[in-house]
Amino acid sequence: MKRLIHTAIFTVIFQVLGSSAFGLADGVDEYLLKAVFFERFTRFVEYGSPEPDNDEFFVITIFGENPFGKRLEQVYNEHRILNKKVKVVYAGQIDEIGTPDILYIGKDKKPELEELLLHIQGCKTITIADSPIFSGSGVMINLQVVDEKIRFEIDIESAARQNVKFDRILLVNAIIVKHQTGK
Amino acid sequence: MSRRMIIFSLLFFAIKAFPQDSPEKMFSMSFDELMNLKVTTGTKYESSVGETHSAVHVISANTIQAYGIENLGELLNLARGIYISNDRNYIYVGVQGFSRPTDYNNRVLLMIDNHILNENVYGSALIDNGFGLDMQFVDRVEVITGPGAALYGNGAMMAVVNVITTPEEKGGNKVRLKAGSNSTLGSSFALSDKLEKSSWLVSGNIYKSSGEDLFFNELADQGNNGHAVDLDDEEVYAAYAQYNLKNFGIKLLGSHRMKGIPTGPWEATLNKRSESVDERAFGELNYRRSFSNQSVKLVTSWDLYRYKGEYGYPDVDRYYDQSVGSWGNMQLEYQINLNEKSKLMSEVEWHYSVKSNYREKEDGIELFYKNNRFHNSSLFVQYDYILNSKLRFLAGLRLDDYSYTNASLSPRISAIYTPNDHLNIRYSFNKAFRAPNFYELFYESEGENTSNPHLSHENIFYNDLDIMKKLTDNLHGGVSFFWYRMKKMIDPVINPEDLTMFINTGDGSGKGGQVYCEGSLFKNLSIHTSYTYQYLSAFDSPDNKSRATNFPASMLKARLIYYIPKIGTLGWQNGWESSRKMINGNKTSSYWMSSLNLKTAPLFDRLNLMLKINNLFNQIYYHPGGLEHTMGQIIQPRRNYVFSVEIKL
Repeated sequence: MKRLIHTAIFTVIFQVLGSSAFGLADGVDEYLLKAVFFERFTRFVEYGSPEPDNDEFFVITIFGENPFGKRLEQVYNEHRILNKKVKVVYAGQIDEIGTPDILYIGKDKKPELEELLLHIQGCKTITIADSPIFSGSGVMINLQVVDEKIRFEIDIESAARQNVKFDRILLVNAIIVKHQTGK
Repeated sequence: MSRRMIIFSLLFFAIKAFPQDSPEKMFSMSFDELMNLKVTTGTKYESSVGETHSAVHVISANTIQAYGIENLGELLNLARGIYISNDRNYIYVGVQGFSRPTDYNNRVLLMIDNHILNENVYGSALIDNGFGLDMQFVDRVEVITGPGAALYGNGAMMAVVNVITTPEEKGGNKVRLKAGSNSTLGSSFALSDKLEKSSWLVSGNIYKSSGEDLFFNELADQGNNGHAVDLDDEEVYAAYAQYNLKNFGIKLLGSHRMKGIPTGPWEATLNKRSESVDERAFGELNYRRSFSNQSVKLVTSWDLYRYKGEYGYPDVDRYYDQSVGSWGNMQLEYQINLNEKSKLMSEVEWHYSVKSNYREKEDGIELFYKNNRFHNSSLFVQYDYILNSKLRFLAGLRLDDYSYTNASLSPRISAIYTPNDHLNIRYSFNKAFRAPNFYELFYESEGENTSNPHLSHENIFYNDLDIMKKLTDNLHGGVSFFWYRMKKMIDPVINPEDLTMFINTGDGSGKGGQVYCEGSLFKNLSIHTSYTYQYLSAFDSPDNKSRATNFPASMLKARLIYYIPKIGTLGWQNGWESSRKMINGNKTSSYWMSSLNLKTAPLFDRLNLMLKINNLFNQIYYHPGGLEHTMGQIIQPRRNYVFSVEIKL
């Protein structure tokens, strides 16, 4: 019994020392996890427009800097979003964007954000970024890493402008922000 | 160590270390499990005023840059329901009709990256250039109008303002040089980086301006025939740094602001120089840790404040007053997600002021000196509950206990109702308080001021209803109403012995509403318009019907941002406000104010030029002064220009 207790204590110490809090990280790849979150977000989104969507592909467009590398292709080679095959598209200019289902906005495109949001207004596109510089700037979902875990801000007003509504399960886990409204 | 122990531990470790980052495994996880996965980066940032579950109005860097905002006062003036007063020494913010002349903004809580900047002598918050940092380099400013005492305690009566700076991974290194009217020169920089486990930011700002030469008819007897020449100058030096390593963070700030005072306050002569110097510094160390559904934050800090005012008097070689504040703070915050629908946040905080003093000297003779050493402790809890997809509640309660005055309870409740995609209704009730500060309690000067150590808290009971509706795909609008009652407000009065003293003047009530519309009219053009009506009854009025000083009953704001493809951004601000009552009973004139800013698109990928024209139509307009001013109203800056170059390093 005594030995079992020692074993248990030793194991706990070993685990604690091996945990990320002491610098030996055992976490997952940040951008792989963020890529998975893309699909998860779509489960909690309702589109305002009732018309059925007959597109063959679910399109994810990366606009500007691509921190995902080839992870999106890696993840969505085998997995579908909303029962559709996923196509990953890369765009460098606003007029190359079209009307994707998800638009990831790279940090280098911050100066073009207002023009970009006007360009896709009403397109039912979920806009996603992952930098503090996008906080409250009109991007619907802004991913963050807080205490080594993925957290996200949701801009409900921006989503409403795109005819997109988020389920409460998403909202309860989100940091709610508003795009600057002048108050 | 037995072999069994080693094998058992290694096996356990091996199971734990089994890679979780196969997409298959992640797809099989629940949402909560995904949220609890740790990622292999230590970067993090704090994102809100502290109310992560409430709607916070965020003024983004885009907006700040589009309108060429130079200081916090200008920025707050963008917001509906907010107006400013400038007495040419400090800028004061008014919220929902409430702005007491020369209150040093002690009813507004100001923070930088969640660190409170209000000091412990006057409770002041510098929203003018004294804030220190170049607004063009801040990431965003979060503004809550209305009380926030249930979270932040003392002084969060009318608004909470949090200025956020954030280290950037790339492209965050910038230098800005500016020049403008009235010999204005400035330079600022922001350097930052985000590494795998750490991030840092260093920002600095130098600003100088000679100001305007002014003439005050009412000051003809105060020297130089009422001409204030070379007395409106200003100098600012500031630096701010933050460093984050894994769960630890450190913040350091130092700022210095000198402002010449051209208005001859407290009967100072215009033949001699009068000036105020405000210096502020702090160091903060924080630690935060998250567990599965809980998080803990520990913050410890030390703050310093120094004020020195020199006033020129005809028969005095040197007169000055001076205050020093020195205080420490420690807070422990705990948050837990009880389940999918509810969250609980609590905090204990302890504050200890070593120095909170005031000194007055004339020709080497000390006229007054007193130090108030005090401490206070606080506790708050807040509960956030989502009933269903349409209805959400929040309740909070904070207790603040002071060593030198009464304890105070600050409750808060709010409900948000979203019946459909197009409508959002929010109601909140807050009680907030402000403890009397050192200056109000203890200051005495022979023949001028007398102390009142029996002052008690002032309290506000504040209600707020906001109804927002989506009007078209690109446009939304709404109406909001507020009504509040201020009890035992602390205000200076002239007593029967003709001495200035602070008393709990009595009760007053404020009410009003706003209509607003904002969004995009067409591509490349965004607009924000609002009309505010507000009324605040005088606090010494027996029937609560006579009007308080220093608020415009009506305010109209209209501003637009036009994005000119490949050229840049044009920001045009317009605002009209009706007259304000002065302390002497007269009224200022209503005025229309306009400013224009053009910021070019990046040239050569790293250069932006900006031209800002303040007071575009060169209006002559006035803001009410305080008790210390001979004149009832103070002339505001005429048309002026700021030209700047921003270089990305």
